[in-house]
Amino acid sequence: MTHTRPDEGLIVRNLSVRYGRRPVLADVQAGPFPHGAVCAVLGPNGSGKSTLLRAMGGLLRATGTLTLDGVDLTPMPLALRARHCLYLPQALPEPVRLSVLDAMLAARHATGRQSSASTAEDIDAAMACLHDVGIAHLATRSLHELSGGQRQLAGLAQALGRKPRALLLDEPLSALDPYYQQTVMALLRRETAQRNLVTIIVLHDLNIALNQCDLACLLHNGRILAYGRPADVLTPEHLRTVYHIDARVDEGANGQRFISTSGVICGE
Amino acid sequence: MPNHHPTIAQTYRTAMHHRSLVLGGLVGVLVLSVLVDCAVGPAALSPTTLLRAMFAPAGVDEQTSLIVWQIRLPYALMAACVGAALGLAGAEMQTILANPLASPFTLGLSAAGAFGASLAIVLGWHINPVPDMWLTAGSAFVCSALSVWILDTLVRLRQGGTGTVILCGVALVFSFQALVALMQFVANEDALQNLVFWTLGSLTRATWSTLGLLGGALACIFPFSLRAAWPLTTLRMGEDRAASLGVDVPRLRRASLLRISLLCALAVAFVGVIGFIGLVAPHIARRLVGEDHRFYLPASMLSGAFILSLAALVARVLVPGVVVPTGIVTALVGIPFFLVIVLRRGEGTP
Repeated sequence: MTHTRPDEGLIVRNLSVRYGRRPVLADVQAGPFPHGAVCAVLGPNGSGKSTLLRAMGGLLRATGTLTLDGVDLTPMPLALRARHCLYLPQALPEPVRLSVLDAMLAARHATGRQSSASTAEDIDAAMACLHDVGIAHLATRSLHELSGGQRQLAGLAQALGRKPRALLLDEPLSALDPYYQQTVMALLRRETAQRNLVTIIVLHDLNIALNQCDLACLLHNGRILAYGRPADVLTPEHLRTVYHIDARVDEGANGQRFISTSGVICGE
Repeated sequence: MPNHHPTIAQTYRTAMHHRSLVLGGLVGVLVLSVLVDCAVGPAALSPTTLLRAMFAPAGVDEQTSLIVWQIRLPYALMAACVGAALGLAGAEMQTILANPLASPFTLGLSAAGAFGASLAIVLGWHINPVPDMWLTAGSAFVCSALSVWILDTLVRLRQGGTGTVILCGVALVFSFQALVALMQFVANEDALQNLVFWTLGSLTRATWSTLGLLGGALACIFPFSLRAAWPLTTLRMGEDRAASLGVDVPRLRRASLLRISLLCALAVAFVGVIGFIGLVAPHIARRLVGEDHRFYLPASMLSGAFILSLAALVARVLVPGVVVPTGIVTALVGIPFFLVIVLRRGEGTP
């Protein structure tokens, strides 16, 4: 293992967000989220998961700092910030009359054309990305002809095509069927390792977080209750506190863990 | 596989080539319709006479030259320019408001411009060195810019979806129409004559100076629209997605609204209210070249120019000897089209 600097990865310090006068996140400290690992952000509805990610992505007005490998991203204009740390919204790309390749090129040029690259190079780079994501065969199809899962993959390819060093995904699995959920998770794990990305995803599926993520971060009332290996974070006690559910964590024959819930806790 | 890339890149290039051809074709039919527009009329001109009058004025008699240069050409070119301005404004509007029913006419910009102009006409404003015509145009511009700003503010305050935009627009249309009616009520005979002619939308008052101003504005604004083509394309995939890719959406929207209000206001200021071009042209463009804004914006502009050019022709030949106000023709043709768009919206995206 190589020597790691103490400020390596993505680190959130003193992050606060308020909607009007209502504080949603107060003084959140999170991370370091290391390179090459997929980290799940968990928590019940309204716990501030999406807000945290949007604020980290620069889409919300927030106070505090976000550093990536020691570089403070907060004072950067959005266009520059998005080159380092890219946020992907929960909504799928709209089904418009735009081919997947057009969408890739538009994402590439959205903040000004990279002067050096020719159109042929742009197309090659876009195709390489679509190939990584596994939808190279859909390149000339229009977004309005694709299924939700395929559009989600196209959105991911757009993001990867921008070559960010950190990727923040807001519930990338929520609109997908189990096949595409597994496809997207496998893809994220592979690309995170290959491109040495910092990958943070908001999840609702606890079992996916437990088995397919390297790290987990549990949000409770706008604060981080626990952060670490998923097995250490997703304990029955934590689930009881955060989700108000009775839950058990079991280990299956193949080494997989699974959480089974047996009802809600009343009277809290 | 890397060995798939050449074929796909090839397909993509063919598609781009095809779109360029479509744009070229649009330019072709536009030129043709402008020429026909010049040739047809009470004094019908043969194609050779027309071309000679245009390119070798010495070879034709004075009267023909006068008809072509002072009457027919300004009229025909004004139709094309106004159509182009409305087509471009409509295309940008549908993108930034994310609404297929958005257009200068349906969302009240035209009505606001009409109100602004009616203020200047009816109240008989004069500022000494400024010609009255420019004052009318300026007043129309201020009101239509104001209506765009009101619309944008309302939509953002309510975080509204498709429905909110249209409802706010309809409210604006009715408010400004009522205000125009009020101005008509208080107007004297002369001003009323002037105003009625103007609210119906007519190209017959086109002159080389108004044409020059509108054409110049279009030529200045269009490059800025094209420069925003990539960010506007990403905006079509969702506002959040565009923002997440680093596009400064509020700034993009403000710049676009400024362009839209300039284009609409100038169009309304010189030829009055001409409906549905800004609504229909973007839909035709989308069908023809898709939503890559590098092609969609020019295609919508050219379609708008072509349709209004045709409408202007129909307006002159519909009743022999009389030029029907063009606004009436575009509204009559536009309403069925509007209904088709509304009824089709259920099935996928328009």
